[in-house]
Amino acid sequence: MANYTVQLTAPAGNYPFDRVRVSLTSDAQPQQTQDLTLTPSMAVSHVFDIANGTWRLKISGIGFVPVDEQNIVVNGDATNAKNLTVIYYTLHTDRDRDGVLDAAGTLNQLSPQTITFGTAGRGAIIPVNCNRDGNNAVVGRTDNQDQQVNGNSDLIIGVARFEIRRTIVGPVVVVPAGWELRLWLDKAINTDAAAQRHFRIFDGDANNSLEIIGPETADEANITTASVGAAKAYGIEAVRFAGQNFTSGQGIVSLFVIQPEVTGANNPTYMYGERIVAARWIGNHHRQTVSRLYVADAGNAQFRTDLGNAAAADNPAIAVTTGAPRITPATNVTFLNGNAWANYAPIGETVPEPAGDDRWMRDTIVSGLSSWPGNVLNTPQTADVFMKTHRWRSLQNWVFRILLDLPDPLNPGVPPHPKVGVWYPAAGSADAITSANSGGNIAVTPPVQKTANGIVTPYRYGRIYYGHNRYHRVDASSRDFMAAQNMQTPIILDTDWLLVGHVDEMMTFVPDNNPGNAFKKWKLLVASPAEAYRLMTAAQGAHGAANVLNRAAWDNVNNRFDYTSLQINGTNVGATINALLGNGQAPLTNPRDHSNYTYKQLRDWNIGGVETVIARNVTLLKNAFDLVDTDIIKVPVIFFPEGYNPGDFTFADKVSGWTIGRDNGFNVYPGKQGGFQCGALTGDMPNMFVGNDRLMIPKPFGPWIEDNTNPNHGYDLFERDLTQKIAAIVNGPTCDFIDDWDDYHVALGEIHCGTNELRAPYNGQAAFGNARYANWWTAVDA
Amino acid sequence: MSAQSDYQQALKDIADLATQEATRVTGRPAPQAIDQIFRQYGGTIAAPMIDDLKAGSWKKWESWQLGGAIAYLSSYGTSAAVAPLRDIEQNYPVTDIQIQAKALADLLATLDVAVSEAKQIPQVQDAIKSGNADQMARAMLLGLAQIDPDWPVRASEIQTKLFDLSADSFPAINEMADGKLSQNDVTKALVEILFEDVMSTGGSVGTGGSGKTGTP
Repeated sequence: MANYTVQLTAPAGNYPFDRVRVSLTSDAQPQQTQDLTLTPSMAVSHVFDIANGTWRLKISGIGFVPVDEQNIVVNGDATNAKNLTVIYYTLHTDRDRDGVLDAAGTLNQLSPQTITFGTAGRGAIIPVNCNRDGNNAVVGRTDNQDQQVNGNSDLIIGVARFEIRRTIVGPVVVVPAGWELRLWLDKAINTDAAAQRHFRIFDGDANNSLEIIGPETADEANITTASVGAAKAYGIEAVRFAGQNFTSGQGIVSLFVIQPEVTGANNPTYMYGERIVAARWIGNHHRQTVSRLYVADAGNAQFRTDLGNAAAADNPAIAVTTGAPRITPATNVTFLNGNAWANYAPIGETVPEPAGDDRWMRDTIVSGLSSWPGNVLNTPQTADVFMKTHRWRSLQNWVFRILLDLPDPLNPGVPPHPKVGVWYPAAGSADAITSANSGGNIAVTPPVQKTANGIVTPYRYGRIYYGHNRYHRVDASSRDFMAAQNMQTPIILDTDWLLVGHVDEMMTFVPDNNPGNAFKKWKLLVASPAEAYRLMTAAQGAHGAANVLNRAAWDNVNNRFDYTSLQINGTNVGATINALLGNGQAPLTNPRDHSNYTYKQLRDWNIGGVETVIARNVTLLKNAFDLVDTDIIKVPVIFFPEGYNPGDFTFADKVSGWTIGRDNGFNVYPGKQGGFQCGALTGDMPNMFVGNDRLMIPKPFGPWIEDNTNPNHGYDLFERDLTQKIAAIVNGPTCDFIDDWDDYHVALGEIHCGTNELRAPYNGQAAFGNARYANWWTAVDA
Repeated sequence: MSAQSDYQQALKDIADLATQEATRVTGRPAPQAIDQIFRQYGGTIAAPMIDDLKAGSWKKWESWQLGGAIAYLSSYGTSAAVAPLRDIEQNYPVTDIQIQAKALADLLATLDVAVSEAKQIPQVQDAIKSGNADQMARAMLLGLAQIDPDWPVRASEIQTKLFDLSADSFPAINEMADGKLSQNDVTKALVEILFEDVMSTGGSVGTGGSGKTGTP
């Protein structure tokens, strides 16, 4: 027998490994093993009591380069000293969100333990790469709908990095041949769908790097140590924003290292795991500076000229891009179907939707943006990202084919317009396509706060608000998407009273720089039939014969106005103040049974019914954030019954209990069963485009008051009312009234419905006086 | 006009409405607008509609049209609609419609047994023979009350709440009326106020109205 001493010296340095197993084997002799705990730079010995003979020494341990020494002839006591080497691989993400990859996390743990936000927030933020930086994806698709990195810009704007790094400590410089690496992408919570549907990892960080993990490949990839070398960076992008089947918005990237001599072939030996989270989408609000305005070409040349003039006169001036749905070829809409991209085909719809007249720019997309920390120290990246609403009409061809970044015949130039992203939450869903799923029904308040029981809850990015009740319901995919961003907690309003059912038909926010409170720098404009009738009643004595709902044209020859009645559904709706305040027969018919109704019915229903349901929505806003009556500007608008909700009503749904029955719909609150749904009769002024210091407002065609002291020989009573109210805002915006009657109003929309815009990110640092509010990931706490 | 031609006319009305809506903001008609069109033709078009659905017409319909049809069938549907509704529930690729179809199919599926049982009741048979709308409605309600154990429970809940509201109102009314009204007077007036629209309906068509048209 011999005392055979094995003396091991771990290399100097810091590394997270300290255990090895020493094994001695010999034919016809029992195996001898001993686990040893090592300390860097210190020799540790173990004496084996073994028989003389030929032995094989193996030393292995997690992170240690194995030793396999054969044919050791033992013939008496001896010492075998080995200097060990540690080689290990680590995973590095921009966990602290400064644009630079961070040190490795903790061995065999996920780092961070949870995704957090705020000034000390942790967890790498991955951009949702839904634009076309390289313009080389299939037409209609975005960069994250193919398997490659799409150009050098894509690498800067749309692709984050993580890195695998090798560390060698000790005399050996060659990685053992059997060692393997494996990257794995996993979901963060069980209820999320597989993470490979949400993130894509490329085989490098160069242009054209290809997907190795993601929707079209797998959730794991084997990586050779040779390909990594000392370090290798990998590009990673998010395929989608948080939302349905991805409520967490998070994933886990893990690096498994396989040392077969320790854990056997294919079995992970150790791991480093990093939690990641998709960048969030933020809906734009009216306190953000408009940089570009979009409007569709729909045979509306004069309107576009007027709008363009107003945009050019704004401060800062706003560039205008014209969409061309009538000439943009049919373009498929892509969604991830299992592990392949497929063309979305909602039932009953033409796929792809052919070119055609679709002027509803607002309703097609929702203006917003998305930012992430970027790949350079303290250089966050922000991208304009539109949320595509769940509708199916021709303008989507322009959105996916042109807006995303193809040359546009109507807007020549390279690039023809700013690069933007588009994300369609409901693509591929089983959600119904309805009017509620429109951008006009999805808006964002400016920054607001809610005070309740002494506790103040700030909403520094504002709050999304949309109509969602019995008859008008936003699709679940879009709602889940907005809720999952966890930034602009939605407020649910009731737009059942409107035939179209969009929140922009009843309210908007305009900037007011005067209040010192950063959460009150706005005024809320609300449609008010009562205000319209109040104004007319006050004016009736002097101007009862004033024409309403007429175009007034000054006749220079005869020094008088020529009036042309406006039409709705082919019916002349022109009237006078006296008529509207009287009890004669109104020109339009009851949508319930096509019978006639009187101006008195219309008036009582407007003042008692419509005004009340609008007020109920204002109450919902008051419950949602600090809003008082002095924050509100009432805007005169008269509505008319445009649709009817069949069925029985209840007592609480009656406008007046004293009136028997439903009065053919006029005695039931609009939006209730047995009541009407409304359209705007006069121009719906709140349905305006809110520019920078200019409001582009649909002409109301309210009472035209002839007045030769006025340069125009007269004025619109409703226009003047709103102008005066806006003028009361010190240094407030300018009102610019634009005639959109024939192009939009008669089709139940207004200027806001027909426009959209890009807005600069809100300067939270300046607004709230703290650098943490410069970026959303430090601004929010969850 | 036959039920079939009425139904075809309703479909044409819907197509016209869809054309009208195509360029408007709405883009498509709302389901309740479709329901309203169907209801204008009364209950007789339910049969050809159900036949149409059985033939698979729903496979080409958009959700707003099918939603309107289901809303209409919630009033006028018969047990014959159960099969196509089940088909819709299982195969129509819009979640909201699947939910609506299931709810209605579940409801209509109970009709077969209830109707056959109720028709055996002599008073119901007599009422049907009479052709009198009021008598038929009353007898059929009482028939359902006899065969559906849930019916009396729900009716009692309504009555209880009515009586409670009447009783709670009575002290104030009594004081205002100087004792000239009984609680029964108040209860009767309460019923009239709450159901005046239904009670003023002239004919047997529809679920209420101004008394002029009888349409819903």
